[in-house]
Amino acid sequence: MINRSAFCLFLILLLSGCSFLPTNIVNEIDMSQGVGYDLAEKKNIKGTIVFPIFKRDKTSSTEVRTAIGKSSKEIRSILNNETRYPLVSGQLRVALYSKKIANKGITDFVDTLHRDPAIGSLVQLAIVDGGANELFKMKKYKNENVSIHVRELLEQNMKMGLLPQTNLQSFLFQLFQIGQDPYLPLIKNENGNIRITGMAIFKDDQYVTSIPMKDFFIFKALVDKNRTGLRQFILEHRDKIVLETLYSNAKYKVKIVHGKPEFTINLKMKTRLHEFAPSEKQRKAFDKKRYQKQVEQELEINAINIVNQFKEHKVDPLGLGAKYKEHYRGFNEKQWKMYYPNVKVTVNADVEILQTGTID
Amino acid sequence: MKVKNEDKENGAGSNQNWLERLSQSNDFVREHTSLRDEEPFWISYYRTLISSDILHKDVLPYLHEQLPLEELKSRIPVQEIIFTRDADEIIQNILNGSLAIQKHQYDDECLLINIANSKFRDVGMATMESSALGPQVGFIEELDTNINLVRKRLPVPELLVKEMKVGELSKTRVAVLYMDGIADPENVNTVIQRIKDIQYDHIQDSSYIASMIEDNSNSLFPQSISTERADRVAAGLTEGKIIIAADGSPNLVILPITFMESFIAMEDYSYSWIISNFFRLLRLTAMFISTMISPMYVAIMTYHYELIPARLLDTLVGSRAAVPFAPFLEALFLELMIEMVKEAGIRLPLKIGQSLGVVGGIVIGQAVVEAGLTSNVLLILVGLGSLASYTSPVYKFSNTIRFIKFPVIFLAQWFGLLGVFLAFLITQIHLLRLTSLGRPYLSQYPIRNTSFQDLWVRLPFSMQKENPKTLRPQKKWKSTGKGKKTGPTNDFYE
Repeated sequence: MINRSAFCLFLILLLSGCSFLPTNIVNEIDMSQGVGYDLAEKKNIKGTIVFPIFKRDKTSSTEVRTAIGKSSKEIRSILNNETRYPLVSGQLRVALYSKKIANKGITDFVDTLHRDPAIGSLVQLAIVDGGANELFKMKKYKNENVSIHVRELLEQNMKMGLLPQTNLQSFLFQLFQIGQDPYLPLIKNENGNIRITGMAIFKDDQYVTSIPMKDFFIFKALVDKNRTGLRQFILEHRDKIVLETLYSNAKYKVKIVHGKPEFTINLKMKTRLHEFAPSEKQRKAFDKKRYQKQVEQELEINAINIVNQFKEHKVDPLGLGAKYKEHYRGFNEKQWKMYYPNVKVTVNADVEILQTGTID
Repeated sequence: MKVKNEDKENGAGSNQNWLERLSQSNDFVREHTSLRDEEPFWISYYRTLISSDILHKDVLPYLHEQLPLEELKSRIPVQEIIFTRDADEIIQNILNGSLAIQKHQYDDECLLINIANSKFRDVGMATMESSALGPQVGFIEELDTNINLVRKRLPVPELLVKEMKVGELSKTRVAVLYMDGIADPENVNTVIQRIKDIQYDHIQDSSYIASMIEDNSNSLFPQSISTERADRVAAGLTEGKIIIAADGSPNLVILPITFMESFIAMEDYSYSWIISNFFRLLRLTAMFISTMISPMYVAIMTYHYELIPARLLDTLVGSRAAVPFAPFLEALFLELMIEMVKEAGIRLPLKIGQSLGVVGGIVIGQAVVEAGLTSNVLLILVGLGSLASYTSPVYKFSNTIRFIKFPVIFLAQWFGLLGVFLAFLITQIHLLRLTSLGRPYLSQYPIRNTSFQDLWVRLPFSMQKENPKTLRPQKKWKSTGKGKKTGPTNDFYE
């Protein structure tokens, strides 16, 4: 008994020095927080990795390193040759792809993200108008952690603003779902500032077109069930009205007419009046019904416009195909792709202005 | 064992033998009360055990006349007088503070008058289990006073006391208290049987007995509660629990108990049920924090850097940036240091102990961080953990919490969060298997509705109607008028 417990004690002391799994002690690794991919010559890619360097009792500084290689893991192993600690990817927060590389398709680079179990599915993806490398190396963000900045910029706009919700998980879902194309935010370095400029729309994994900032309101209303977002409408007689969404939900209805699908989108919105500037300066109470109607019309036209734009580029970020597939057992992808450019889509908006403010 | 054998061989029936044996000790007194040898009486006693006051006032004045011992017995105004010939009994009583009176020097028969001097401290405040509200009285080192305190709270004939002597050398009086008609007789018999089976030379405290009779003495978890609060004992008795008290011990042992009872303070019943539920939950959470927080730190800092939120990265990693040790050694070092401070604080004399707490806690901790040996985040976590370990109202249990984090830290170092979870699992399995006097210790399974009246949560008194079922009480309802609203029906409005 004594021998056995002595042996156990010895084992405990021996084993406590080592561990059964490979360790990643936090201060002995370099945690990449952002990666960026650009096109380089000769079918190579230029990868950029952003990682913080921690100092005792000081705020961390950010290091941006670039290397050229054929795959993202090759880039990492090249960069490992110049970092103090091994580069690890578990703290990855944002992955940027340049527009040029997105034109050729980004699955190859997204693939590594979802194969690595250390990387979470909430990583933000974005397309950079320009170079990802240049964006990470911007002078203005030298003392700030640029990857965290980009991530928080995107997240606050998704949460409080007009940007539809996207991340690695949603991108992969949309990519692998039959009858839907993914979309990602488009950011740009504009005069030394990182800005969200639009929404990049993909055809499978290739960047095709983008929707501008002004269409975000309707796009978000069509793809997300959301509770945020502010939009200004210029109605007839140049009446200006600013509405904030309190609740919005788009319901897609599929009807098969003569073997072809027809879509009805019922967009229900509850809003709050934020600003109202009528053209005729009269002392009149706010005519809710009249303006609701006008806003509905405006939204319907807006929606039809962007749907038409999608049809034109043969992309389907709204997932109409997927909805068709849910309803119709004889769904055929090829056939659907043929139908899609001429598919009939009607939009019924139902806007309700619930709150008009304290003074009316 | 040897001592006992000799007892039997030499002691029985022989007068001279017990005299010889006792007079080897210098505090043993043997005197003759008159000058002439043939006249009465021979008295023998231990000078250190008797009260000379009683001896001179109540006993000696009666010893001048020539009287038979039986007559003497009825005259002397002392309660406990025994007339015997049995040498063993004589020795035993003299050792307990009796005066032995013999007519002639070598007489076998002997009158034993108990004039023991029992000087104990007064009944005072419960120091280990203090509370802001509620009764403050604590038990002392004398059995009879302790039973008196309990009886005062439960003045019913159903409260039974079974006394026995345990310990071959110490001959400690051990009392088993229970409520007849409520406590399961099976439990009572088990306890009495187990106490009778104890073979040990000395019993200094009721905890000796508690650990000797508990179901699994290899468990880290105490399967009984040692308490110094009379209200806890009385409340336990009414539920059908069994109390073990030992002479010379200020702690009474309550059993069988369940795991959650270690998180119940008697103070809980002084507050509104909502507030006391909050405190119970707080104590339970504190236990998890105390046992898991440093292992989690070790696991996350060693293996799972992915789990650190981006905004915490600077604080957590920055504080560790220049620390030369692995998180495991860092945590072990700090935990051991804090435990040493605690241990020293308990062992040191009271006045030095207080200043040590300050020195140990702040000065050393600060210095260690400044020297860059540990990260200040860990210092906060360890400090929090050690604070949390003392929230359990049962001292023995808080020691368990103190200890249990060390194996978890080791597991965290070996397997990361998997190890922490493994530790949780092993503990859970162990607790599920553990019994206290044959009753399930964890009381999670089987689920009893009484566990939700006053165990995991405390409902208002009006809704605590049943005695806990795990104890198999003979009385199901707390009050005989079960349907009617009796007593304090709603403590919300009180």
